[in-house]
Amino acid sequence: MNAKLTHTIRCIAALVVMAAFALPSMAAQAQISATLEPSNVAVGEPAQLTVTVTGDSSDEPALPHVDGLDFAPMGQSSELESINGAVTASSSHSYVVTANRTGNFTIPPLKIGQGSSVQTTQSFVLQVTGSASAAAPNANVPSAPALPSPNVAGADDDQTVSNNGQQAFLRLVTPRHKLHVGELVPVQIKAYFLDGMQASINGLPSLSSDAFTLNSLDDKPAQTQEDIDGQSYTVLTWTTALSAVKAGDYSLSLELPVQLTVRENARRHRSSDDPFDDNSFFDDFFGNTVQKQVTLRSQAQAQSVLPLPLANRPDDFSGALGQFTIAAEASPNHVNAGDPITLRLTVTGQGNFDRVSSGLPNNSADWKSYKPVARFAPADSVGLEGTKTFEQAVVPVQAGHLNIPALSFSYFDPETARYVTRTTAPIAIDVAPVANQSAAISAPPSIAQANGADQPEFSPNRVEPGSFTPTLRPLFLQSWFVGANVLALATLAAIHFFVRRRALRDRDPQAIRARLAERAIHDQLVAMDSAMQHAQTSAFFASARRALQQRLGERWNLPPETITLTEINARLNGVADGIRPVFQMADQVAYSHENLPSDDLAGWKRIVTEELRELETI
Amino acid sequence: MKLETIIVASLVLLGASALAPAADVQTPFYQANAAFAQKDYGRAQRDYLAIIAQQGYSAPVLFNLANAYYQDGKLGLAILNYQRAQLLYPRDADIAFNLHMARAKAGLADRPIAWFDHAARFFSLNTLSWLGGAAVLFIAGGFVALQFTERKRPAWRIGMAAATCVLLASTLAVVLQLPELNQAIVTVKNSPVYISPVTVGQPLYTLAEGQNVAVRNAYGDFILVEASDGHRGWVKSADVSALIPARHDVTIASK
Repeated sequence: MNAKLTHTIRCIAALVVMAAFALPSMAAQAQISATLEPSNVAVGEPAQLTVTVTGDSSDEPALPHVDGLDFAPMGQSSELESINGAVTASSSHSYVVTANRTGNFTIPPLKIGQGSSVQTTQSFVLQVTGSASAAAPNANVPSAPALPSPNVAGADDDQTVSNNGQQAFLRLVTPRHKLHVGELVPVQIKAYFLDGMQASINGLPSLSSDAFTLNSLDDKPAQTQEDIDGQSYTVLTWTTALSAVKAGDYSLSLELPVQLTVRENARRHRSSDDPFDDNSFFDDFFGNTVQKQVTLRSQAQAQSVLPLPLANRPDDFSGALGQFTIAAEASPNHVNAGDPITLRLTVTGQGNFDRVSSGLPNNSADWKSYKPVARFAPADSVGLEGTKTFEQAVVPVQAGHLNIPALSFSYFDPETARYVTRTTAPIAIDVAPVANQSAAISAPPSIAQANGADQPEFSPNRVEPGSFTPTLRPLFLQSWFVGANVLALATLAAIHFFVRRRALRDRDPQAIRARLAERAIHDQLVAMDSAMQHAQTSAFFASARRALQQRLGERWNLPPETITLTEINARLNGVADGIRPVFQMADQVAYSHENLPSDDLAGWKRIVTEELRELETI
Repeated sequence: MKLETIIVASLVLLGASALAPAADVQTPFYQANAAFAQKDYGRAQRDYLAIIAQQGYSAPVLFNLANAYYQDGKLGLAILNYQRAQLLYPRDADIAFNLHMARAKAGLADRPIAWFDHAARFFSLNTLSWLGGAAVLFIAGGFVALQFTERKRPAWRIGMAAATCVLLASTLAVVLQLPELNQAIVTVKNSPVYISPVTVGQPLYTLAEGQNVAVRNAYGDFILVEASDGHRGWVKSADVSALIPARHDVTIASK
């Protein structure tokens, strides 16, 4: 019990210590740093600006606007590093910086965050000269790696596994050794590990030269098997694209940090004369294994990076290299003035699509245009081939047969080493006038200004607040509405039920007979009262007999006129004895024409009433 | 009732109605409009939101609020409130036009609407609710009435058939508009979309301000959204606002 408690306390303490180390690093304030390489370039030649944000921030630094400089994003990479439980996240944003004229340009500090948590970099000065040769005097000399080296921890850095050993090595497969600045070339990075070797990758392959950049690499490379010189290797393959950022002849190689598990017994000295000294079995069985942090390096390759020619460079060239085709369409083609039209420019092909920009029109006398939206659909895993679509909303401001002007797009074709400009045909649009065009497109200034609207096309404010509703949820989703409807339906159903029930009852033959009998009895009782008032004894008793016949006929389901004294004697055995005297008296006064006093008739009336009530129960 | 009493009552009513416009000047709606006219769009937004918090939603208030956001450059919130106003006044030309302008300014094309969807939006969801509810009650009441009436039965049957048509049409229109109930609008510029509800890792793509998305799921501070092109991903819930808020959604004022 005590051992368990001690173990639990130790675990909790360990977790607390780990959290104490880990949490401050996770919550650390973001920090930003940046590098600019090289700081001396020629006009049109790119420099690489790399901004690294470390810490708990997902912000992308806002790019400054520097007159004469163009910033184009190249890519972004993220890294999570855990050292002794301290987790550090960092992301690097790379940009290509090109200048369109000579001079010294100051790039102001880049910043992230807001308010008191703003972090800034230092400012940079980019010196731009007139020619490429002046800007890169040492272009023929491979430059030393300026980008930070991969993190290779440990004291065994010098134990690089050589390719000659054939145990583990790295290869960079490129289609050619000559490319242009900015050109995107598909490459394969292959890491070979001899079968049976225990290895784990501690990072992604990185370039040893800052003259090139790689597209983002997948964390999960393709894994295959290859036989080389009779030995089987496990091969990890990354397929990506390589791009050069500056001109010159360079040596290109890759590095990959890995962790290998090797055996210490191989170092033991052995005597070759002793046949029993070849105890590899015991070495394998008893040998100690140790883990080594090593860095695989690929063989250096010579790469020649050609600058983009300045001659015949189109004005609208934005840095796109490759082979592209373009198409433009607009829909709808028949609109009213003020109605929007979607203008779509599609660029399809192969190349560096991140530098493909739209040549969509700006505002003009005929058209009001808005900021385009770009969408890229890659056709391969690298993003080298695909289709980039620009969509822009344009609004005709006047009626008539208008033309959306021809759209153009310029790129550099590395195959032919020439600039190419593709142009679409103008698109005809029929624009009809609208009755309220003045109100919709160009509202009178008085109305617009009265409502504080700056844009003439802006519909003005309402002056009446209208009717309010407590929620925007539709009524059919509100409980009170559903409840009210259900209640109303239930009420109607209840009414329907009772009405139907009464109708069924009204159609029941027995109920109908009872109702008719009751009505007839009531009539006879009224006649008895009348006869009593007029001292008509025979009429009184005739009515009394008919009233009783009605009751008995209804109860026995017989026609009332067929009820005789004989029938009564047969059916009423000792029940309702007061009926027989009434029938007998009726026969008697019918033949004798005897007249009884009113008091006697009133007594007979009570007898008849009581008998009628008693007969309801038989 | 004596003639004098009628005359005095009429004069009192006339006097009250004549004083009414003077009282309107003090209403919050008038004051919000005044702030708008003075180009104090921030105060106008706060005033309109206060009206919504106190009195509820109305199409004119939502429309003016959207106009204030539009003028303030907050296109996502402008589009959100134009669309909310459209829920109440679906055929209002001004709302449609300003919504179109806001979407165009945000670089968004108008959402394609099929003819049957267009027809379904002829009435608001509330009007369709009333029509459907009334049709159901009329049909149910017709069954009851048929028990009582003998000579007018053909008229009742025609009325019940018409009510059945109204019920079917309104139900169909509601069904067509049901996807709107899950809509949300991006209210920030370039909202990153992640493959999982964590911020570690590269965003898949970004959603533009004012873009409509369908809400499919929620997890913590993230919601799973589906764009009109079918792409799905997780975005921070603070980056979007539901078209139909659960309650008075005045928290967006702080964005």
